[in-house]
Amino acid sequence: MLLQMRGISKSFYGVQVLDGIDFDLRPGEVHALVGENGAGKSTLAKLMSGVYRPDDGYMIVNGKPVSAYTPIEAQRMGISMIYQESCLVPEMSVAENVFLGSEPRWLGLFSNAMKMKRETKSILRSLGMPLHPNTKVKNLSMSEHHIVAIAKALSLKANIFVMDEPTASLSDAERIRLFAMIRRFKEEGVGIVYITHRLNEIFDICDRVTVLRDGKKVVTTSVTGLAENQLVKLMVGRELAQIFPPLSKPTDKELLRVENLTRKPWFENIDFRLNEGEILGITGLIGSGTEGLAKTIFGEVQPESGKVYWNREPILLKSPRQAIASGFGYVNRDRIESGLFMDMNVYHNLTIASLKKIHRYHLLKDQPEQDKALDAIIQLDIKARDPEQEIKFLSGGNQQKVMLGKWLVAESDLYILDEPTRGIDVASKSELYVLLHELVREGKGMIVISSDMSELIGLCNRILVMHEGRIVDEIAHEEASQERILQSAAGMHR
Amino acid sequence: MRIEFATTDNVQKWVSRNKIFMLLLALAFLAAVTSDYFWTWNNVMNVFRQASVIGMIALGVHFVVLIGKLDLSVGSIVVFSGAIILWGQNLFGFDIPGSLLLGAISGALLGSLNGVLVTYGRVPSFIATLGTMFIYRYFMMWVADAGAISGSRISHTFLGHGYWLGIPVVVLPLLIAAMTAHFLLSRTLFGRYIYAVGQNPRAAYSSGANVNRVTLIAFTLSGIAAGLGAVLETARLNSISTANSGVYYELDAIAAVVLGGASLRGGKGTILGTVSGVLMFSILNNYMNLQNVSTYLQGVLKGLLIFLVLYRQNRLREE
Repeated sequence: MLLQMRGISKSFYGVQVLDGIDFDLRPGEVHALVGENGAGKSTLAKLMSGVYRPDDGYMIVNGKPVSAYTPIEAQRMGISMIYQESCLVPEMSVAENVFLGSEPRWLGLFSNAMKMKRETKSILRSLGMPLHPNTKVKNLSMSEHHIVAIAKALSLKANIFVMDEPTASLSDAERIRLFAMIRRFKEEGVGIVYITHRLNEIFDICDRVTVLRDGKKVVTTSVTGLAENQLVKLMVGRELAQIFPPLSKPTDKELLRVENLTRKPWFENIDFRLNEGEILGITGLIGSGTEGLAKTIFGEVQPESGKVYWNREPILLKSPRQAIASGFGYVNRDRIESGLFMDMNVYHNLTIASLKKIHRYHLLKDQPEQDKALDAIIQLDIKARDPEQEIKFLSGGNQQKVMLGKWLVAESDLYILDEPTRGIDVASKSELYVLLHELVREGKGMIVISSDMSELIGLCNRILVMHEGRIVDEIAHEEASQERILQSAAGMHR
Repeated sequence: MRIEFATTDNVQKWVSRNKIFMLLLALAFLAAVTSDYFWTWNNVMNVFRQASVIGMIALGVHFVVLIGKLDLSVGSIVVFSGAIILWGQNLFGFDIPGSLLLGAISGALLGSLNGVLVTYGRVPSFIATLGTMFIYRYFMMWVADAGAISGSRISHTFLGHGYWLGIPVVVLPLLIAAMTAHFLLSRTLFGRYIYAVGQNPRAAYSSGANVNRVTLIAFTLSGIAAGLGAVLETARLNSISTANSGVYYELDAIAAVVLGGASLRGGKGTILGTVSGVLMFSILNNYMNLQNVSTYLQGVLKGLLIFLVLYRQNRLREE
């Protein structure tokens, strides 16, 4: 065994992200790690590479038992992480990047540039990649970035590679080259942990697969003999009908229409329409442009061309301020980084988007503000000790409710929800779904961007699937299936 | 019974939120116990008087620190505005109201220039205000040939040396400014947005705050406070030396704000904290003078006080 993890647990801000995970990596195997967003894959990878420390559990790395280590110690023990996004220094040369942090030295002081170049060259040659060691990394393509990252891993004599979505930014040809390289590593006895959303890659290259769901391990199984729909079922794994309330029928009244909206390179020629009382799902793989589309509709980003109609009137939004004034509300994908004010109390977080409606001559009075916030706290059943408790002490699910509550207080008519249930447990999810249904029944419109298949199928009247910046499929609720969404998202539909 | 319990709970909450104020009281108590002269009316008023100029400036810098930025130019604004105020006296015969107006307007202009550089020019605030720190001061040194400018109106110095009901007049503007700042931060839309922008600018933007405008106003307020600080400075000294006035004032102000519990990352800090920070430095200086400690050693102790308090604060925060 190259790597054994036993009983690994980790929580952030009171949310249990990983719960008692066991994981093994054998020499010469590619072990896939799959699960829905928020299942805990990336957290597990970061635990392996020492970025996070586990709250509980231990690991055995190359025969050495450890409970926690730093990224540098992880490198010394032979674990090398190859991230989704490149973490190279763009202004440094290939050779300097390969040896960053482990430069060969003269007398322990001066870095030995000749030796660095020589060894980089021989590693790159063994990879079949004739890159010049002096080239600056900023001049390389994405796939060449990966090559340099892999060369760096090899220079550290790593025998455990952790790859987080390595193909997310690669072209087909580049991907084939990467796979050839991975096959060669397998022969040399290197173990690879392979995280991906693209299920077909698992069948292409992986030997075993571990499925995570809501922070728990579902199963570890051999890939041979596993069918794709079985794998999907393992990933999603729960009865859908139970947590979703019955869909209500939308009206025929148009609320929002988007025509030919384009913002390269995120998305182009987006057309869709949203009626009052409708829940529209939008989905796509990482990089398919869903997040950019949401930001553009909300006015955070300006489109290059195209029109947005709101209540059948053309509307041009230059900032979120204007969008909010028109009745838009946007729940961000990342609640910690760009959604909440962690040091503010619950009710200030709830009213922040409605202050323009509450103030009188720019003065804020406690009473009307607290009244509005309390309504939302009761309606959403936000569990806080008192409204003046700081929001950082709330659990992830309750924080997510506050994000939505912000727009309830603002009395929004259009809700754009980007991954509204990421990282929250099933019970809170189902409460949230009921609330969304209540809102659309009042005639509000809702756009739900999600990569959670079951959520899309159970919650939405219609689903739009995006692939590389374009809408490639529109699926009515009755026809929706996970296979069709996955196929369309991968660009395999029609 | 229940209500009484709730009140002690509130008092506890207030105390734990305003630890630095409690520390100020403790320091004052310590000084009063160990020195006979410290706790006399004259001396206490002296502490306030010594704190007035830096206090006024720190109140403005407080706004800039709250949005996670820095203003290094306030010391130079004191020189620039001070020179304008004294010229106003000498050339047009302005008295206290005219001086206050000139100080506020010139400060607002210089401060808003900082704000424009930071928002629309996208220059990091440290660099922008480092640049204007040189520009404002050296421009005035060039105009005045690096010399001093003296005032001609003795009545202006009433603001610096006069008494009203036994209270030094110079303390009153500070008191009014502190209350205004507290009101702005705790009771207005702008105040709420200041904290929002400081804690999470991206979230503030997508919650409808005009981040640029809030930033611009914060720097303008910092400039106005420095301009009013210049009024107090000229009222106390009746002159401004373009080369030597206002040196290190920006650092003293930032030190007081940080000592008062504000985070340089923004979003945290109260006016009571900043006022406490200013008074703590003032008490330290005053007490050391009473004990005949060398001025140079006083600077060392000031630095140690910053370390001590911030070390404690960070420890508490981690827990």
